[in-house]
Amino acid sequence: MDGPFCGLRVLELGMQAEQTGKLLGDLAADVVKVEAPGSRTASSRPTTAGGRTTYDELVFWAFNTSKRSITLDLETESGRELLLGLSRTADVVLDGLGPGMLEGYRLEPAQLRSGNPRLIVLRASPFGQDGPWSGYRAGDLVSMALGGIMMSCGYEQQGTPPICPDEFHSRMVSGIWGLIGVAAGLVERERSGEGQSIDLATHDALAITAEQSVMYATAMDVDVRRQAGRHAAPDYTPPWTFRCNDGRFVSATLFALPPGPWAALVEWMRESGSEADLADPGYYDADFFRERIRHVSDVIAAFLRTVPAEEVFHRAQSIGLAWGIINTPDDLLADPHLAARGFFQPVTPAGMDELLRFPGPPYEFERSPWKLSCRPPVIGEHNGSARFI
Amino acid sequence: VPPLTGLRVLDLGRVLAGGGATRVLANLGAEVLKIEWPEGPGLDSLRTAPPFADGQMMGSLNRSQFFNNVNVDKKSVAIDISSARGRELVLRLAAYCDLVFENATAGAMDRLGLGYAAIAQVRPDVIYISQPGWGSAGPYARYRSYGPTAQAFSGLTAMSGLAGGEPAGWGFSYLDHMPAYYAAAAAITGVYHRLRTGEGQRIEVPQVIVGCTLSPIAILEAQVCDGDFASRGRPRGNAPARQDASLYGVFPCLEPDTWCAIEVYGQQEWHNFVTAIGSPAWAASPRFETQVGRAAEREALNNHVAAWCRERDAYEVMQLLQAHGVAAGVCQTGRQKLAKDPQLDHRRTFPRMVHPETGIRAYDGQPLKFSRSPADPSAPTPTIGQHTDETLLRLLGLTAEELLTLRAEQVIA
Repeated sequence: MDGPFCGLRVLELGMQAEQTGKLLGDLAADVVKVEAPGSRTASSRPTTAGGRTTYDELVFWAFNTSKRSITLDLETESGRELLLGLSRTADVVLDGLGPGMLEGYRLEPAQLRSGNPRLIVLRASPFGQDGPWSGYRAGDLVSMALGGIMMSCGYEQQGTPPICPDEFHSRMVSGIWGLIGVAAGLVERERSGEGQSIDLATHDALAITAEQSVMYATAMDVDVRRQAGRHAAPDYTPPWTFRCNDGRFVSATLFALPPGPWAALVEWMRESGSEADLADPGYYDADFFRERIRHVSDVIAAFLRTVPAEEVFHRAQSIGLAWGIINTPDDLLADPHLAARGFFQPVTPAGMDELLRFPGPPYEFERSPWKLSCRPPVIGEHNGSARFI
Repeated sequence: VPPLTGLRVLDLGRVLAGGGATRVLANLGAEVLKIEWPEGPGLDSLRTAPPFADGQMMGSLNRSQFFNNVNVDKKSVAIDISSARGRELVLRLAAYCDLVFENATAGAMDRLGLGYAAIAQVRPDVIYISQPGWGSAGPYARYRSYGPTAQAFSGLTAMSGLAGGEPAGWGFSYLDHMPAYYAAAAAITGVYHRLRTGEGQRIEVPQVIVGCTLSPIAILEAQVCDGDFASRGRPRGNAPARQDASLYGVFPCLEPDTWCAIEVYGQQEWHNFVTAIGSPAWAASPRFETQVGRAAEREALNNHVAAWCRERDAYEVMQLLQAHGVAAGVCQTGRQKLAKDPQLDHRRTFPRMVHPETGIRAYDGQPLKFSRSPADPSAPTPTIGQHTDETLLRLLGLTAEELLTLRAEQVIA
């Protein structure tokens, strides 16, 4: 069985659409990454303890499985002509160079599509191709700030800053929207026979990925306030994140507790005499419960401090509570559920002599499977062989 | 016309993870039939979730801005799927649908007779999207999951916070949004596959598993670096991941709890930054002259920058720095995104729409601008059951009399 994009020819330019390129490649598209000669040089800054690799390399590997790499210098006439030639037989160009860059090279979508009207050009940039801020600069931190993610993340203590979660989530959000755009463009092309260009702004994608903050703003003209380990809200709510007796944390949400799981939770607490007054049948009444939610949270916090986190997680789930253990990436690598699913994918990156486990499929297609088709490419590895067949 | 015009979707999904996926398809032109019921297990709990318009639910299922935002552009068809006759109606509708979405716990839809096998009987080329929390395989398959559960398990909660403190996590259900996007992308990809091969299929998009794919760098780092999570400098707490950052952080500005994020890399950007802030004497100090020096003196440098920002409005800081080619951005709130962001206005990222019970409100748009097939949210959120009769008449050819009977017997509403 072939992946859903088998036979699809994709050219990837620049950095802004790297994640979209990876998502397409892992679904069997032939993604050719176009890099400037010399743009990826061995870094002199090893960040790892053994000097086994560099941080830049980890970032590259993360976003570039299932691709080929060629080098082309778009600053030269011959480089631009080669790209134009490649784009004639391509289905998709992922333009991640930044607003106006293609125009500067006289390779704007109209130009690219003139010899290939079926071509789809996805243009990914921080703010979009036009508008008052289109020339603004932004990395991950600035994108996450402006998009409104950070004002919902952090601590309630005064003077503590909004927090930007680790790991380039601005690229992740924009990346999946890029796949939505390309896939929708391809479906439309099957009907019309024509390609088009699609302008994707990271800022827009993040701005609509902040759940309730804009809803509160438009419904009640209030802002939500950040608070540790739980949803930002207009008024502070009791904690959901609790420390267990082994120092690890669990996320134990106290909303949507149906009567069955609540009774089982109280029973569990009663085994160690930790239930305080929670056995009071009054707690089955939603208003009674809500009025005493802070007290409930305190009693549960005291109870969880006496139980190991793994036990809290599995026991809670066994009685129907959607509680989660707070894992680190190290914990994921050892998790039995992920292991049983065969989640991690073995890859040996170029220059390494060991197998590394890469994250596996976010989705499972029964008839057109996801697959890491090859390790991240060495720069220019496919020069001369990347002509589309 | 929008790119997905002509596709019809049967939406058995709930809350944000389920409803968010079909919303993407609806915004891109698909006709989405949301199957729901005003009470019991068929009620989408978002209909009773805050915030309500003007803070008032007023006993209505149509005033939640949360529900209304997630279900723009859809049709509401009220059918009671806890009854056998309701399920039979849904199955008949499914025959006219290209895609079916559900996000119940693994196996629940099969037990209702609305799983992939049952739907494929009436619609062999259906694309059936399941979003079970943990996936249908593996020891935790029957576990339950909300956004915060998935964020905790997948490592995202631990990777947000100040080093040494308790996890700050995500202040919202990021892992409702992302699985919704992944499910939408997978569904459209499935449509493309069907257009080329004629085949439908079942596609599974588990919430927790999507979360586990979102930290590839940290997962690789855990394998190639010695030491534990904390000793690798995690969580970073707004500190730069890259060692070549000249200046990187979030700085307090004039008004209480207003902040500006600033990112400066390399020598040229550093000079731009110094020029932008008026070349103060401290910036000329030899200790800040080189990249290595700035990295070594990060705390002293941040203190200088914080002192400069604290005397200025956050938007002023951003505009001044951006005018000098320096990446800077206000930590915007929801209200600021609606009122103070000309770029979001320009892109119509939050279109205002009129709803019969809540008036004019802002709704999330979508970030893709198609040159030939523009698509933006356009139809107000349906009130519950608004399209029941119209849909059953049009697709199944039920008569007015049959509708009356079904309504009297509480199979439809």
